[in-house]
Parts: sequence; C-alpha cells; structure tokens
Amino acid sequence: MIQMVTSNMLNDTQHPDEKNTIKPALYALMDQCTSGDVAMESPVVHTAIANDGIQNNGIKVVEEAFLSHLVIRGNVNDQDFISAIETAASMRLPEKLQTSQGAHATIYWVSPDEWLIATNKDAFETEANLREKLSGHYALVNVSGGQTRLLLSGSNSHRLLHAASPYDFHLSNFPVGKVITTVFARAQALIHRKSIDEWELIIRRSFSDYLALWIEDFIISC
Amino acid sequence: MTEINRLDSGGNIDRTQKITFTFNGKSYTGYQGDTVASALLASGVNIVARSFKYRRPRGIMAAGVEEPNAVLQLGKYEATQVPNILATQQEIYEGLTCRSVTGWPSCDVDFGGLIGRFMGKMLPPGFYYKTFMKPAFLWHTYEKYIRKAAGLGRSPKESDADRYDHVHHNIDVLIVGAGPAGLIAATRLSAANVRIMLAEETTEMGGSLLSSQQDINGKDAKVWVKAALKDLQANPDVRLLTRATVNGFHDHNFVTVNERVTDHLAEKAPTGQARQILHKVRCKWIILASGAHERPLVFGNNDVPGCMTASAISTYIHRYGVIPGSRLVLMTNNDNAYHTAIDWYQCGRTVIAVVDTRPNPEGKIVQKVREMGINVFAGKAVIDVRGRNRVTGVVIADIEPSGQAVMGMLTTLDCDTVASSGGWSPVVHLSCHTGCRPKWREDIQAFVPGSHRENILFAGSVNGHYDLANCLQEAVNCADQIILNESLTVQEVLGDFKVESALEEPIMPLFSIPHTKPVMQSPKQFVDFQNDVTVSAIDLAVREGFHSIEHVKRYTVMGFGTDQGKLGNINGMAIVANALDKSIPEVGTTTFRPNYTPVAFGTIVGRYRNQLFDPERYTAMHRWHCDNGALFEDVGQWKRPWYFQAYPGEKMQDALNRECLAVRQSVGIMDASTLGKIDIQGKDAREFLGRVYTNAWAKLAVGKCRYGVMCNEDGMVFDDGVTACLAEQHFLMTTTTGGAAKVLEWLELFHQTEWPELDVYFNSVTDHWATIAINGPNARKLLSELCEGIDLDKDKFKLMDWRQGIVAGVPARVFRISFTGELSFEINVQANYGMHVWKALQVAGKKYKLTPYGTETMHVLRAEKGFIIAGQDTDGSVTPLDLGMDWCLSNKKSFSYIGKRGMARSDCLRKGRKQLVGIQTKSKEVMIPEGSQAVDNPYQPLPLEALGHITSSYFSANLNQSIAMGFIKDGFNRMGDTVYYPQPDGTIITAEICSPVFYDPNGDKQHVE
Repeated sequence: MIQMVTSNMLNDTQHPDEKNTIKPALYALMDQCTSGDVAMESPVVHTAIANDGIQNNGIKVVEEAFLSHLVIRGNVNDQDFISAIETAASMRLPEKLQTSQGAHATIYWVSPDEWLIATNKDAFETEANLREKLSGHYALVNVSGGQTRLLLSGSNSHRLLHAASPYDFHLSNFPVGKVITTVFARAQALIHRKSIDEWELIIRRSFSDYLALWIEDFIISC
Repeated sequence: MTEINRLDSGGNIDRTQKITFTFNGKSYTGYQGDTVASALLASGVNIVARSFKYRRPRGIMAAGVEEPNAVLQLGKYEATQVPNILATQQEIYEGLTCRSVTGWPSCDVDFGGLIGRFMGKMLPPGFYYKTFMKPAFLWHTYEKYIRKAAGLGRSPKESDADRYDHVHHNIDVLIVGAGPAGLIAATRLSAANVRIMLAEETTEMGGSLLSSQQDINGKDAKVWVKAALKDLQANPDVRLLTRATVNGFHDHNFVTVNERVTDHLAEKAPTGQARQILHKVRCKWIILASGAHERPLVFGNNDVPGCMTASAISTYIHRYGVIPGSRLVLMTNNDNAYHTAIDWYQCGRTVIAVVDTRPNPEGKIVQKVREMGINVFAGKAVIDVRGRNRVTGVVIADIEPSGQAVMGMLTTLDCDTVASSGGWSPVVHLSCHTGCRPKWREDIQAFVPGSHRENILFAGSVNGHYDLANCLQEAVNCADQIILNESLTVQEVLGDFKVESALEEPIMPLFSIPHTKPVMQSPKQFVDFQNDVTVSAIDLAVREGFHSIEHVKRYTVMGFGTDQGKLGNINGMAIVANALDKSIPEVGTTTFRPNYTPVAFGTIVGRYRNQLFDPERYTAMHRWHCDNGALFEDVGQWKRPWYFQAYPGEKMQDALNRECLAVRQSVGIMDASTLGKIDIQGKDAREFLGRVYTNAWAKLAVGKCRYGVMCNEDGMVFDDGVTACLAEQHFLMTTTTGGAAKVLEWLELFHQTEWPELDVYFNSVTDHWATIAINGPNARKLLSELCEGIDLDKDKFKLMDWRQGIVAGVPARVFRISFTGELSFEINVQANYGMHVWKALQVAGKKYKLTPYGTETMHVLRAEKGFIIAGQDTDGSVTPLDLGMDWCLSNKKSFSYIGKRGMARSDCLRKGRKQLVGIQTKSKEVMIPEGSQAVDNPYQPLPLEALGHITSSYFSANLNQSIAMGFIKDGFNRMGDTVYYPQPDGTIITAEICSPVFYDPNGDKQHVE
C-alpha cells in the first residue's frame, strides 16, 4: 500500500515536450538577478550594521551589500584551469591563504581547490564569461544571495577580531593580503586583511543577524 | 571607626584618597589601594567570619589568595551580588558593601557559637556519611540548613548587570607572576623580539620585592621594579596584566587568565567596560614564576583572631602601612620569618619574643634580631593560644629536637598577635593541571614542580629557589633557554643583576606542634581553617582506616573549601605521614585541577549570553514571520516558524487545525529555505548520486527531480530529500534542515577518501536560495498570477518536474514537488529577493485566503500522507525495508551504493523486525503520546513485551481524527491487528495497525486541475 502511494513521488516516466524541456547543457547557468524594480534585502538589513554601519572608539563596520559572490572550484595542478580563470578574470588566481585584487573584483583563496570571487560586476555575466573560457573539471557556483561582505576598519579593529576568533591576527602572522576562513564568535567568517587597519569579513546570510548582534554588542562596549 | 593600626607612613596607598565602605552593616574607612582586609585590620577588626563546624570566631590570617577565613559576599544590589570574594584580594572603593559569607545570621553574634560544642560532635570527620542519614527523606531539609550555616555565599537572583569579555592571544612566552623572577625574565626576553605576556595576580607588580628590604644593583629593590616596569611598558610586544590570575594550564600550552578589570573601581563596571576578561592564551613557552605561599605552623587554638602567617604581617606593613596588632610573638622553624620580627620592631611596636623551634639557630638574621634586643627562644614552640575573640597570650614550652613531644615547663607570654611560619609551599598548582605530579624536596620541606612535557619552565620560589640571587639567576636562565631554543637574536643583553646572597640556615621539618595532652584531648589544632579540619580529625580518619591522602581528604573534607587548602594541605599531609609513620612522599602528593581560584560564571560565559549564547539562523523572510504571529521551533540552529497565530492567544491546536484545513481546501504557504541545498557539478555527478543514494539516478532527465534516501554503511537511513537534475552534469540536492552539514560532510568524506577519481564538486547553496512552498488545490492558480515563462499546465509541468521562469518579477526555479500530498510548487529565488517574492505571493494570495503555515502543520500534513521524516520516524536503526520503502532500492546499478551490503545482513532481513506502519486509535479523538510502546496483551506478566514505539502522532483536522505512525514487530503482516499502548497514568490506549497513508491514498490531490 505504501509503495503504491509513494511511487507517485518517484514518477520517473519522461514526457518529452518540445516547449518545456530544458535545452541540454552541461551546467545550468542562470541569470538570477532581475532588471526590474524589485526590492532587494541584504542579509543584515534588519541589523545595526545596515545603511551607514556602526562605529565607536576606533572600530567601524559597514556592509558592502549586493556584491556578486562566485565560488570557483578546480584543480591547481590543471594548468588549463588556472590560465582560463586568469584570462577570464584578468587576475591572478591567488596562492594558499592569499588574495588577488583587481579593479572590480577580489579573488580569495578558500581551500586547496576552492576560491571565492567577489565583484561589483554582474554575477551572471561574470559566470558566463568564466564558463566560456573554462573546460575540463571545474565548478562555478553563484552564492551571491547566501553571503555578504562587511568591512571592518579603524585603529582598534584588531581588538574585535581578538575577541571573536582564536586565530593569530598579529601582523607578523597575518600580513596585508592574507585570507583565512575561521571561527568567528560562534559562527564562521572568511577574514581578509585589506590593509593594516582594514579587514573584510564575508559571512553567511543565515548567521548574519547573529553576527551583527555580536558585532554590535562588541562595538558599543569597546 | 578610627584606623588604630594604620602606620603614619609607608605602604603603597594613596593617603589623599579616603574611602568609606561597609562591612557587615558597619561603616569603615581606608585609603585608595587598600584591600578590604588591610582596611579592616587598620581599623582593628578582629572577627571576619565564623567557622564552619564549631562556629568559632575567625580573623584574617593571610594577605593574598591563600586566605581561608576572610571570605565575603560582595554587593549592594541584588544584581551585583558576588559570592566568595576574598577580603585579601578585593580592593575597596567608595560605597563598597560586603558581608561575611559565614556566620549566618551574623558573625559577631552567632548563636551557632553556643551550639558549636555539640555541632562539632554532630559533624565529625565523614559526617556526610555518618549523621543526618536517617530518615533519608529529611536529608534535603538537613542539607539546606547545613549549607546555609556553612556559609558558601549565594549567587544573585537577578541577572548580572555587568558585561564580561573573552580575548584570545597568540604569544611566544607567557610569564606567570610578576615577582622578581617574572620581571627579570620578561626584561631579558623583551630584547629578543618576541611576544610576551606577564600576568600578575595582585594589583601591583613586584611580588616579594614590594615588602623586601633587599637591594638589587645597589639600589632599593622597589626602584629596580619601577625601572624594569617602565622599560617593559615601552615595548609594544609586551602585554602586562595586573589583577589577572592565571587559573588554568591546559594541554598544548593553552592557558586561561582571568583579569578583574573593574572589580576595584565600583559596584558595577563603568559604562561600556567589561567587568572581567577571560584571556585565552596560546603560547609557545610558559615561565612559571608563581612564587610560594607561606604555610603556618599548626598549634593549639591557632585559629584565634590575631594568629597570622608571618609574611602576611610583613605585607600589611610594607604594602598597606598597616600593623595588625601591638605585641607580637613570632614562631618559626626557619630563618626567613625573622624579617617579620624586624619589620614589626621597626614600626615601633613590641616584639615580645621570637620562638624558634630549632634547638640552636645561629643564622645571620637570628644574630641581627638578637642584637636588636628581641628575645629569641630557641628549641621552644607555642603550644596553645589564649583568648577567644582576639589573642591575649600564648603558652610556650620546650620541645624535643625531633619536634614530637613537649618537654619541661610551660610559660605564658602576653601578646595580641601570633605570627607563625612553617616554611614555604611553592605554588605548583599550574604545573599540575596537565597531569604532572609535584615532587618532594627534603632540604626545603616542600613540593616543587615535577617532570613535565610541554614547554614550561620554572623560575624562583615556585622551584624552591627562595634566595633572591638564585631566584633571579634561574629566571635569567629560563629566558636564555628560550632564546637559545628559538634561535632568537637579542639586540641587547638585558637583566644583568647584582644581589647579595642571604645565606639562611636550614628549615626544621616541623608542621604540627605537639601538646602536653594527647591529640584527641588537646586544644583544637586547625589544619584547614575553612572546613574546620583539625589534627585530631585527621588522626581519627587515619585510625578509621583512611590511609591514602586522597581518602583522608575526602573523609575529612580537608582542602575542599573555596581556598582549596592552599594554606593547610601540606600540613595535613605531614600529619597523615606522621600518624602512619611514613614520609610525606610515601603518603602521596595531592594534585590540582583548573581553576586555581574561583572564577565568576560571567567570566566563563563572556559575551555568550542571551541572544549571543548560540547562533540563531534566520531565513530571508524571518522578519515577516515575526511580524505575522509566528511562533518558532528550533531546528538545528535555525528558527523555523512552528505555527502562526492568526490572533494573539490563538491556541496551538486551533492554529494547526486552521492551517491544515487551509492547505487542503485552498492554499498554504511555507518558508522552506532552511532545507539543506547542495550544488553538485562535474561529469561524474550522476554516478556519485547513484552511489550515495539507494535508488537509481542514471536516467534522471534534465528538468526532473527525484526523491532519494541516504543510508549509512550499516544500511540504516540517515537522511532523505529531493534532488533535481539542473543540467547534464549539474544537480541540486536538498537535505533535511538539520542534516545539511552532515550530508555535505558525508559526500566530501566519500569523495575524498573512497572515490577521489570521480570528477565532482559539492558546494552548499543553502543560504543562497530562498525557498517558498505553496501547497493546496489553488496553488497553481496562485502561481499563475505571478509567474511568467513557465507553462503551468498539469501535463506540461508534471509532478517531479522543475522549470525556470520569472515569479513576481524575479528569476526563479520552480519545483513541482510535494511533501503534503497536495498540488505543490516550491519556488527558489536568490535570497536577496526572498522577501519581495514572499510578500508578492501574500498579496496575490489574498483572494485564495493564502495561509502561512509552519513546521507543525507540515508534519501533520505529511503524516496524513504517510511520508516519513528522517530523524523523527527513523533513529539510525531502520533500513529502507523497515520503512516499507523497498521501491527506493535499486539493484540494477553497476556500482554498489552505500548501505547496500549493510542492509543485506541477515539481521536486517530476518523476520520479526520492527516495521513502520500506521496506527489508528479505536477512539478516534484519542492521541497516543509519541514514544508510547505497543504491546499485544497489556495484562501479560511483567516485563511487557514491547512491539515498537510511536514515532509520530497528531490530530488531523482534515480527517477529524488522531493519526499516528509507529514501529510494530512484523507490522507489514499484521494489518488490522489490535495493539495496546499502556500509559504512565495506568490507562491503556487501544489501537489498530493500518496503512500509514491516511489521506488520499491514490494521490489524486497532487494532480488537480
């Protein structure tokens, strides 16, 4: 009896339909942004960080909202992969724990086979441009809705990091340009030292209310 | 009250800043820089506590963290109450309010004192095991009063008004203790370009040098301290912390340091400041320069106020300008304590005598004291103290050179203060935290740190180097060892010193002074003051057969107070050793665990309280849910709408009924964004899916979705979800909300360790997509009003299809999948647009009475259809076969799948396994509580044979009856049988085994026009 009912869920018979069947392609590239006048909400829209950000006593946090975030996966030993990315992005693919900075984008090393590109250019065009050059085994994933970038700055900004994370942020261990993904408060963040007193934090959407509260709690009491 | 014991000059206090504070309801004064203890002593306060068992008056004994008696309850307001603060550590500030934690109801007029004599009889060693045992039910009553009388302080009833913080440090060298050793080590290392933290427990750096009269480099030691600190402060890589106790030494040189940032400033921390900070320090090296505590000698009535350790008196004189009495008798078994006699003498007060237990002390300092005209009695000891609320005199007598017995005549001396010194106990606590046992050194009669594994070095008196020259040299050696090991370049050699060595005569191995009477009849000789453990109590414990020191400790509760026996433990061990006629190392060592001193809960918690305690994960539509009456359910860290109240106060069951009916009759909307979503790309993606799911994936076409079950290697179901084929080499997998991270990890694990040859990448896109599910017969109509670019015709867009189009102006992927059995669409849009699309649907849905629903309604609706929830209807012991999901197993795959072999084990195939079936109660309105066990015959002899438990149970408004799913042994073959569910209240629910599909068994509702 159970079989009969639930087999409906498994309805696997194909009904080829000229109009509705998706055109065969290796990857589903999708323009996920609308050109229309539609309200967007950044992950921190309901927090103190929204709009002008929050600052006190030499620490400032603002959001750099609505950037395009693309995850790049590939094999560093695959020269074609590397040159395709570098040609398409006109940027170097950064080494371990490093970033590379372009006019409109930053590429962050994330793990031995993963990078993140954050750009103020359109995500769809960026992805399409990359896919055009890439072949072989790789993956590109648009995660623009799933995370956001915060800019932490100020002469006391390191104090916030030392409270949030056990990682060693001393200049000798964390020079400008370095990036790590690590525990931040009780969630995680990708942390990039942009300059001596400027840090980029990339946080996940679902944790952003919590992290904004934490950051606010720290900043008002620092 | 006037400060009768305040010296005219001296002490590191600010005499221009007079401070008023309250102790036990009375007002006292002191100066900026005073501790509560120094200010009370200055005012001549004798009694600060009542003892635990005997209710005896107790005074201040020490000047630091080892103080056993002066334990305070601090705080003027309920929210600022702090228990177990030491008067010897707490600095005074204007308006400070404190009281003794002991001596309920008051320590001056303590009715306990009257009953103390028989209280002692009621509370012999091991009283926890001996008295108050009968009748057992009264123990809770006894305990309440014992605890209250014991005076362990109390925690605030209101939430803490203060803020606490955690700070992480990654450094090269942590130096524990800023006495001479710590300071010189820091100085030497500061030239080596390393990151250093120097943590000092007290308010001021300098340690013993602050109350010393020795010179360094030909100048007063205090001048040297000042200069050293100035240089260290100028170095940005040196972090100096005062009022910072290094409380825990953990594995891998991880150290926790508790800094009391504002405790000395006010009742509540200044706005914006953390009251205390927990420093979490990760360091390459530790130099432990934690110093030593002086231990008192044990003698008759040694707890009468006015009995103190010798060094404490020197500290009060030098650091606070306070002399705690007029006429001093000093008893010692070593040279060092003579300094206290000199200090006392130089304040212009009378030293009645120095009583030296050694038969023939002839050291330099002994000569010096004799030359001052002070009486030095050699080979004698104080055997008893006169006085009750304050010392009035002592009884001294000759003792045998062995220290075992009293000889000759007794003499009485008038005095008001008894200082005693039994030598020094190195503060080895931290070295023990990682499991290293201290070792006994006979020559100094003390435990020093034992062997150790981590990069930890010891310098100064913690290692038994009491002489200043040796102490400094050892610290310099430690620094040099680090410089050598780390191959550091030193810009400049710092920390050279010149100090005159003060040669001392050896200490006499003596801990407890004998009395003319035998132990059991002699006056009380206290070993552990906080817990009222006496020599006779230890003696009794030994006679009752407790020979291991660990047993003696537990039986007598020696060392179990908030002071952890810092003053008394070594004496106690010596007494046990003596009673057993063994040496101290033979009796054993005690070890120490973190924390070294009590730490406030607030400090341990830090910022992580209330909303910051644990992350709450929100979807893009969370605010709407909050604004529209949602009550939330925790699913992992996610907050998911549980159900929506249509009006404030709507009852849960009413809301559920309303939501359930709305979905089945018109259309409901649910936020499904929390479901885990994993983007899978690569030419082997399809093959990989076939290996991790139990069913077939080879032929799933682009534009199609399929439900899949994932099993562990043992064949047990652990997650399920729908995966869509987005393109030839591109899939989107959904997982349960709680299982998302686990599934991604599972995929990575198998990819990285078992099948690295497969070309596939997995990425989490859970947060990237907002997912909106619309369910119900009107779902298509609703969607059609907002949707462009998708032919929604039921034959063009079939169940288990997905299409790309525009919804409410936003590019979307729409999946026609259903977890309710109704016509259903799941709309995925980039999360930044989630709220817009959700709101647009609300507006368009008005005419269909679109009803938001939560997880509970979802659960009811899926249960009506017999759909399982992995984790609720499964528990890691259930195969797909047990769930009746054999249709979900593919035997045609060229490669195996995870769990295939596991579920083929004979035990998984045997007859009589528990199988998931529907359960229908005979009385349709009765609901069976989840977890209830089924039996065939509720009247069979105990134990009842359980057939299986209820996994899901709800009231279905659509069917107007209760529905349930549960496991029954051999359930598939028992359809129609009656089973019974006995309840804890004695009732028995009768039910029938049925199909789990209660609603729309043919699935017609999913295909409505």
